[in-house]
Amino acid sequence: MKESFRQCMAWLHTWVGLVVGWILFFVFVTGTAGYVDDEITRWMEPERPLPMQVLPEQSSQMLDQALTQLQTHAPADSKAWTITLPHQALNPRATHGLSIAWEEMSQPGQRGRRGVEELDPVTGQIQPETEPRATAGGTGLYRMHYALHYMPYPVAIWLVGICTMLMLLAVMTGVVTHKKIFTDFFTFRPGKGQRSWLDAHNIVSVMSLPFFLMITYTGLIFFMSFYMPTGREIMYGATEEGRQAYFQDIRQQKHDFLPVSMPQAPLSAMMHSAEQTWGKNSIASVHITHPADSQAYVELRRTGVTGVYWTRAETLRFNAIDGSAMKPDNTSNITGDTHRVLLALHEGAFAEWWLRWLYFISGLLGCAVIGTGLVLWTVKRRTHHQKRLSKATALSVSERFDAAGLRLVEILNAGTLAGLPLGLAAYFWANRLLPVTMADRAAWEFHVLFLVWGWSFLYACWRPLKRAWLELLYLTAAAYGLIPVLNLLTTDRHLGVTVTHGDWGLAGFDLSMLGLAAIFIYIAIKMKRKWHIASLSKKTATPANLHTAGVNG
Amino acid sequence: MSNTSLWLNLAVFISSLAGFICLALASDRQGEFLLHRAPRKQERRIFRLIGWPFLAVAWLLCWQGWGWSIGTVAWLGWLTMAGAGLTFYLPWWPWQEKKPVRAKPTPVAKAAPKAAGIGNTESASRMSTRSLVLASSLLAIPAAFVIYLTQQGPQPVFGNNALQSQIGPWSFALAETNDQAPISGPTGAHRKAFQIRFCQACDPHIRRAYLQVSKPEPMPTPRQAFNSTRWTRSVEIAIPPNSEVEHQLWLTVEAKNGEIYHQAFDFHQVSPVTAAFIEQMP
Repeated sequence: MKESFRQCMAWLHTWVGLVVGWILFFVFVTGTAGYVDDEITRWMEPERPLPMQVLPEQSSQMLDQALTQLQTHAPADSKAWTITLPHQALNPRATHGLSIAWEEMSQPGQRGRRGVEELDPVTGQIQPETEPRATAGGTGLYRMHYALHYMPYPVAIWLVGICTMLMLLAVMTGVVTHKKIFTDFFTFRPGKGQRSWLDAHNIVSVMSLPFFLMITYTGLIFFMSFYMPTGREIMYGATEEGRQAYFQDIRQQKHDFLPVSMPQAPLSAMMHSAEQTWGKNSIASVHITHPADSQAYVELRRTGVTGVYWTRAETLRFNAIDGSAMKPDNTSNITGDTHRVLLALHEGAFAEWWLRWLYFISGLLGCAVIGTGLVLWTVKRRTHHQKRLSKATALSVSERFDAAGLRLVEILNAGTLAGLPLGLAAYFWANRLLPVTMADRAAWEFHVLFLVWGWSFLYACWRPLKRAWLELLYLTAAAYGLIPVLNLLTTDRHLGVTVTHGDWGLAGFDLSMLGLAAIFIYIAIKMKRKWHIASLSKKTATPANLHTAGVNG
Repeated sequence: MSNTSLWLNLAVFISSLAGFICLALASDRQGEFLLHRAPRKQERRIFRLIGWPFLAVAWLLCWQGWGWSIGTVAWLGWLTMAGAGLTFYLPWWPWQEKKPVRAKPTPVAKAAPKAAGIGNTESASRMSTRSLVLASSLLAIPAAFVIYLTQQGPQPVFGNNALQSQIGPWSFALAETNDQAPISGPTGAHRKAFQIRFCQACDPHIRRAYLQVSKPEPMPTPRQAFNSTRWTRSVEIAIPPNSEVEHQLWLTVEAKNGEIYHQAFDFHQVSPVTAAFIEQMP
């Protein structure tokens, strides 16, 4: 074996990265959008009212009104009653008003039906909900980052899983390949072609290495029992019943329940006791159930998070009959907890908005690593290819094959790196422009996304490569930049309203669109300037290159 | 607890940045670049001794602000921002040594061969046919899309073929989701999708609606329930193999006050294709 270990790894890094690069770019772009999916959904449902600016104070009167409504509206044999008090919720991230919810007893093999009603926090009356337009919203984008689109769920999960595994491999081999990881830690040399691309690729990868390792590894953990079912199959059997039993064990849903009735102990006393430990306005929800093997209880859940493991929120439990404090079930086990902490790290639902921006930017850096990596592949080979063209008059079969491969990668790059963001912008455009009562509206928003993306591939085939890049980038910048204008023309949830109302979730969407437009216009101008210099010098230096035909094979 | 203080975040960022600047000063290339001379051994040691504690201070601030678990995540996030930000900024560092402009022509010369863009060096004749095909498809695809889009009607429940009727005190529109014959599922059972929409004032009073072939005895199973609890509700029902047209389509509505209403419709009224399909079933 002649090649060194590092050269082997470099080869692996190059080809693994290339093969899965475009899918990973899609996964990273839609996944990054997933960090703000609730805000995106909110923007895509402009019919919903602007959220309350000041949340009403949580009071025991609200609880009493909610209980009365539950008694009249929830079915007689409910398994659980839930009252949500006004608070800022984490998942989905939204301002919650007062609401009641119930879950019916589950039929064998079925989940119990659920019902929700919004209540007016002052009068306690049920409020009619506004009907939003049919859209998959940000959740749809987020779902695509693991379930893709237009294909069966298991196929997509496997495809994304394989790509993620290869990404993890690319990250590892990349670290091995990067010879001078410490010497070059702060090195960026702009304006030097291939060298600059490599520098940029290296800096972004090294600086956000913790994020990449975490996000790829935890991404695999999500569908752990799907990718590696053997352990489960040995313990529970490879049948459908075994699968069900396994998930039941994980979710710990082994209890039988009795129908819920009005708690005899006053909720106000429990609320008071909780506020003494947690402070005022710190109760997210009140949950009432009656397990068959113990007494009915009321469980109060605290707002906010205390750590990465945010799903394990602090709770206080009280006996529903006499109001005495009860010990919550001890559901923690080290394996399950580790699993859930890893997933929580991936989703970042615990993050307050500063940290969420860090997650979002790290996601964008992920897109940048994949993008620069893909471009680097072509930059490296194009120089080599040009040299070969200027020497030989006729190309051999393998050289023609190489040239066709290079052309293919170049088209895929322009079509994806500029075309996918364009498609995403088109998704938002479709949300505003498609008729509201249209059949299958939500599906058509996605069709528009993929149609525009596909169209940009064709465009990249048709135009000379550099033209295609520039024009697609201009188009993308324009598409993003005009979204706030489109929003102004089609809804009354535009910047003038959202900023003055202080609704930074909605206003942030429009402002971020302007930010994205600025990024794309910057890249386009940068490219144009660089290529302009290059084409000027070409005229004077190497006129021979102009007559090298047959590149496209 | 979630802490959104600007000052805390800024302090973490600045501390990480200061740490990285010190570490950059201690390195070979950046040290020379920033100091205009190679840093001495002694200086390097001092820069490292200042730099690392700065990064540690950033972590302590995070720990104070968010607790160790979220704090560590926030710390790594700010380190990324500070490190990447610093590195990309360094080439624009204002106090750098003016180097002779020998570096300038190099990028131009290097970039020169790339300028022979691959597409535009095509011979004219080959280019024209192919680009004509591509250009026409560039226009044809969106055009076809727009035509297809305009043919998409409104949701079936808003369409002219929807059955407008009343059950109990509530009016509604019922329609088939598409005018295709029932499709056969993997188990051989035939399925057909329907939509229903109650009037705006009625909608909040309805807990659930069900649809099925032949009279429910006494209540439909949850499988026959429309899958949404508001606005346009949709369901995909099974057409049993022994169905007859006379069995009719049965709508059951369960009100929030517990009242139950049943009503039967002829298949012809709602879905003529399903009627035809059932008639020709063996």
